Amino acid sequence: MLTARSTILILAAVFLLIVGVFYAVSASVYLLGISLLALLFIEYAIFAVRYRRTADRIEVNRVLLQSGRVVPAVWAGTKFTVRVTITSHGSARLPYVLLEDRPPEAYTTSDNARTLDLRPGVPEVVEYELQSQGPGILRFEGVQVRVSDLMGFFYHRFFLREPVEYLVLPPLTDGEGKHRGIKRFNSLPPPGVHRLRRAGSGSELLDLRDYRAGDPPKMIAWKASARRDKLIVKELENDVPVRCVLFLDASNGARIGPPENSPLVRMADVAAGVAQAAAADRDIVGLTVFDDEAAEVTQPARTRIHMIRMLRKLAEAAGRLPDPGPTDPDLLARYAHPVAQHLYPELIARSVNSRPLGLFWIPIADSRWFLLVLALLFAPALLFRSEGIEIVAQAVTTLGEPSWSPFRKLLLAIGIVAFPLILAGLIWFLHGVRGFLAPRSVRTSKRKQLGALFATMDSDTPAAVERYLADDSFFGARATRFLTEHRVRLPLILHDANGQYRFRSEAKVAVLANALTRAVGRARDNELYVIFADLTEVADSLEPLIKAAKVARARHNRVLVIIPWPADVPVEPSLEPEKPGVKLGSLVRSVLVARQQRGFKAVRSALAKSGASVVRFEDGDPVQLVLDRLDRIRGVRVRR
Amino acid sequence: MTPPRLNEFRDPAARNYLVLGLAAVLVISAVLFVQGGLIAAIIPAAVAALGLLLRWTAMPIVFLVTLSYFLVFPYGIPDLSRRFDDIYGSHLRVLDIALVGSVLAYLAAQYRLYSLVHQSMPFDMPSRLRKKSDRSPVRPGENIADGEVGRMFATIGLCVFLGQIAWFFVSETTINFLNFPPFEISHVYDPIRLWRGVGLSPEYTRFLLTAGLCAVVAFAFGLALRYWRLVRLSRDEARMILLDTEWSDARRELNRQEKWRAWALPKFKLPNAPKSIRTAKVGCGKGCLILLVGIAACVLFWCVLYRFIGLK
Repeated sequence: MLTARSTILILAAVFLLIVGVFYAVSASVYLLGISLLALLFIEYAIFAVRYRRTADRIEVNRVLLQSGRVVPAVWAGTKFTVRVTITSHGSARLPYVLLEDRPPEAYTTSDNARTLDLRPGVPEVVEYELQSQGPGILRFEGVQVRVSDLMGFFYHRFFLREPVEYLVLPPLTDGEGKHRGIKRFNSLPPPGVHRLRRAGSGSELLDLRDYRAGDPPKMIAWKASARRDKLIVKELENDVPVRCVLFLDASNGARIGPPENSPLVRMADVAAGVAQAAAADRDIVGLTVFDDEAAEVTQPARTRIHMIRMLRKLAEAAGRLPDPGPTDPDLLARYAHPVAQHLYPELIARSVNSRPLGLFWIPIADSRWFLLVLALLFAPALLFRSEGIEIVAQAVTTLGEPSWSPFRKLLLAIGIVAFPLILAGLIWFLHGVRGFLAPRSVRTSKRKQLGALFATMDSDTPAAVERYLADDSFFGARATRFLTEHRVRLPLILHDANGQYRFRSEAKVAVLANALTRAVGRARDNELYVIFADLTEVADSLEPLIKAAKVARARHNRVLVIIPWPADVPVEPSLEPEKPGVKLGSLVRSVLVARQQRGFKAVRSALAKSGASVVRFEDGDPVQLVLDRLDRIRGVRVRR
Repeated sequence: MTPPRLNEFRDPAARNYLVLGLAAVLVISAVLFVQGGLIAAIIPAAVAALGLLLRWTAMPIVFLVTLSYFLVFPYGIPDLSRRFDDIYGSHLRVLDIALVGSVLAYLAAQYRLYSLVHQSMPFDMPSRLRKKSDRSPVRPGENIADGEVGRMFATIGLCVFLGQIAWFFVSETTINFLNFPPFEISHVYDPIRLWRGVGLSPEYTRFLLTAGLCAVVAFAFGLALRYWRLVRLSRDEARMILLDTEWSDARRELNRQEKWRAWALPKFKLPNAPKSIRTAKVGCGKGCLILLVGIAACVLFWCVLYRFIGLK
């Protein structure tokens, strides 16, 4: 590719040649021009040969390092190093190459690029640090390579696509770590066993009481009986295995928010903390991730592998991007085209992905103007009737003058007859040529290029390209998938024209209720179900969940619902009177805040009837608070 | 504190090219002084030196234009009566070789200097993906390899040599379309042959030969590169080319099928899409406007026709 620098220099050289050929008084000008062209040609030849012998033989190898070790996944909140090794297996040297690794979106890094002299067989390393604040998925697309000659005359950019995704696991929480570090027991209970202040068949003494008929003789406390001179029996504590099942709302509505601070990410973060803390108490922990359509169940277990698997599930859930739903295809094209240009430059190039001029022409047969054009085209057919001829003749007589020659009158008659045809041609031309004007031409061009790219990626037929051009819904669905695959976030419109929340999902309540009922069906007594879900928007549709919670309570289980709370929304309604002259933005915000507060109240009152506890966690709420609530609800004396 | 621009001069890599460029400018100035005069020696050299010292990016082109002006009019005064009368045997002159070599050396040094301190590559990141912190890339000094300057001089020498060969070919050859091949080496300019119409004028001969030479070289090299590219196409590129070709061939038919599909299926509607994100479509208003313009144009055309016919 020629740069502006070389284009201007070529023009200057051609100018010198023309001057040298036609006007020069010495050989110098011509020699200057031709030598300059020779210099450009030689530079280009060297550049092109080097590029062709190297570009498609570059290998990319990427590893992530944390604490100096290569890791398959990274922990949130901890810095890690991305090391990209580039090795050329070509047979030529590229003296000036700029490598730039493409970090995941929303991650800013300043030193992910490196300029180097790429030699065959010599590995080069690009290394930089990243840090993820929350759990999720990191997608690395590959390395952008920019090659230029030493004078900046010729330039080529290509992309070494090596898409790879890494999980960012929730952090090993502080709460969990502190919890585990504090010694609260002289002897730990058996794994998964908690002592209750209820009589049972455990091994620890709970109380002494008078003998009742039917008590087993082995329970008689003989020393105490001798002291009191009556039969006293021992009561032992009850040993109850407690299982904790976490339900995580990964529905579309929970994914909306800042990239690393969406409700889903925060819930996954807290759920990971709760899971690890429970596991530290050697509780059995399970996980169910549900959304609008299905629930993914991880059966409760206690092993370390199980915990890692759960953390991976949580990271995968936190990495889900919001589905924008039906969106304007032009908006999608505006977002998808730069991504395609950046990641697939060789497939977007005009040389392989053409845009013929006929593409932009708007056929008049597709519009209603076609009827008018047809009518104008057939207007001369009126001459087949005598009335038509009479009209033309009268027009000629009226417009012309008697002194005119017959030839001149004939010309006038032809002009009158041809007028509708000329008008039809003009309408046809003006209608069609509009497609060449911006912004329509830009839209068409982007749609065609993206359509061809999608069809190539899907190994589709040429008919698909045309369908991407013509069918908005088809194009919109594919473009959305393309952007989601590359983890590009689209601007979301939260409310429709009627002010209704677009991401309200009643279906997730039914899915959650089914999952809860299924978990209760497989449970034993004294299980704890912790539901992390954003239910404020569906406060009026909680019937299935209420029924499921009642079933859980009927089986002596506990249900705790934890609702994410936006950081900028006050917990209680403000008692301050509204200031006069309030702005529209603050008015809308106050309405939304009030809606959130009302929704939470409604959820709490609705679920309280079923015996479930509803709490909310504010931004930055520690895991310990949740654990304390869990302990309180469980009512066990785990910590003395 | 040292100003940043002066710091650039302290970079050994930049300094090498700076000195090299200034030396080339000195040679250019000397050659022009010998050929023309003081003004011809000073003005292009001053322009080139400004470009080197201040890194004004337009200076190389301004320098070339200025230089060509003083080569055509060595004394600075336009004089079109002077003709090229020593065309034959004008190759391999020392002054020409020195001038061309030094100009190429200056340009190479100047552009390499730009790459080191100003911009080495175009900034072609899609605008939506750009960040505020993004800057035009600059070639770092440590990227300079040993022997880079030597290779530059070798390339320049080759270019000067090729230029001389081309000039020899152009100046010593005449075109005669009556013969085959239509070229012949003529060491002496024969105005009688030209007067008889046997050959072309020297200007057109030079033009045709230069254009033909450039076209042959560019075509042959372009063809070779194109073939090479086709041989080394990636799977996706090959698939894209095939798909695009098939689509181009069948585009009208496929478009017709899409229209039938659109007629058959209910028209796509965006059930939940808010209106605010929809892009404004070209509506009926613009169509009416176009029609009115069309009618007005037709009436105008008809009036002109009538006026033309009505003229006596």
